[in-house]
Amino acid sequence: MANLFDRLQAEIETRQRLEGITPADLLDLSPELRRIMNMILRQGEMSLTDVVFELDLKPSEARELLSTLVGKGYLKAFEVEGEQHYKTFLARKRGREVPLNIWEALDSKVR
Amino acid sequence: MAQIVSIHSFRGGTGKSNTAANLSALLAMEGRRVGVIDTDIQSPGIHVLFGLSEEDMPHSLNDYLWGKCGIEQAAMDVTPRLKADLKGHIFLTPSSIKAGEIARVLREGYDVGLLNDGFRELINKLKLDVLVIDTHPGLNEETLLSIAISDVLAIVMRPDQQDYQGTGVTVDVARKLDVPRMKLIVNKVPACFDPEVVKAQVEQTYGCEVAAVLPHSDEMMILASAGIFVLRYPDHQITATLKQALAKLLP
Repeated sequence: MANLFDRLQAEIETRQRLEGITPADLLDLSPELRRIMNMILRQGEMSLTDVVFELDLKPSEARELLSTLVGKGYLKAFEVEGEQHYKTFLARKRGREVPLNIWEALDSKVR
Repeated sequence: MAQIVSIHSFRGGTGKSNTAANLSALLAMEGRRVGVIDTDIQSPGIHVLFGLSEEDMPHSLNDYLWGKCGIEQAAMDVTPRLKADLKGHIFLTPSSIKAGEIARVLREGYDVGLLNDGFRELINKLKLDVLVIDTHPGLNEETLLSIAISDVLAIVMRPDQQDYQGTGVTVDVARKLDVPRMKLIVNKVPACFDPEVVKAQVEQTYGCEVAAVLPHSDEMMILASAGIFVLRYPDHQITATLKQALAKLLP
């Protein structure tokens, strides 16, 4: 059986690139990938060192995994005091798709 | 370390906001600094329990999501309004109750990442011990987010067939999202039901501990969200049961 890194990389590579994920998307991930995404979401942000510690991966594997998640639009990467940090890239909640005249009618009522 | 507690129900009208407000008051009675945030953007209501009207809210969660103010500016210290002997504080971040602003947020959507950042900023800037999130019923983006980031999830349900099925869905979702502590609160239970039997049946159905079985109460109905029950009725059985529930939610 492939190791954790290989399994996760294989799953992420098959996934579509997104402009951020929705909380509902989390439910569609494999338990292993969901655990990582949940962990980063709960913490708000995590450094590469934190992720390496929590996942028991080699630093090079963790960096590659996280970079792939950034490339797929699941995470955002940024630097804090020279160290790479990651946070969940949450997709914007889209407005309701209803015919424009409904909003216009509502606007005229509530102004 | 601050704890995030989400109060959720699959269906509306279960007493979710009342439960959130009462648990918050009990926490403040213990001396804790409590944040309450109303993420029910499309049908806000918890502000009523704290005696706020539209004119009392200079800023709201909507303003924060639109970049008009910081999240801490949208939070109001409602402790003095409660006129009770609270050792701690309650800071309420209401959602806007202006019809045009509700329509705008529904029409335009909003930045969910900003909402997530806002939860953490509230905790840090107001030095909160507990952040209580009052959610929109059912499962939508903000509800799933609040469940995913919660340390504690309390699911409020009534002994009603429609609630039973929906609660099962919520329990499954919360398990998938690895919520560290999940409890059920059965509310508005008819007086003729044995609470112990209700508790046992619900726990068996969902495999999840029931933190409280709260009876239907005429006093609660008459209060009609015009105040915080545990402050008005400190010696009532419901107050005692809510205290027990709190001990299970935040041991």
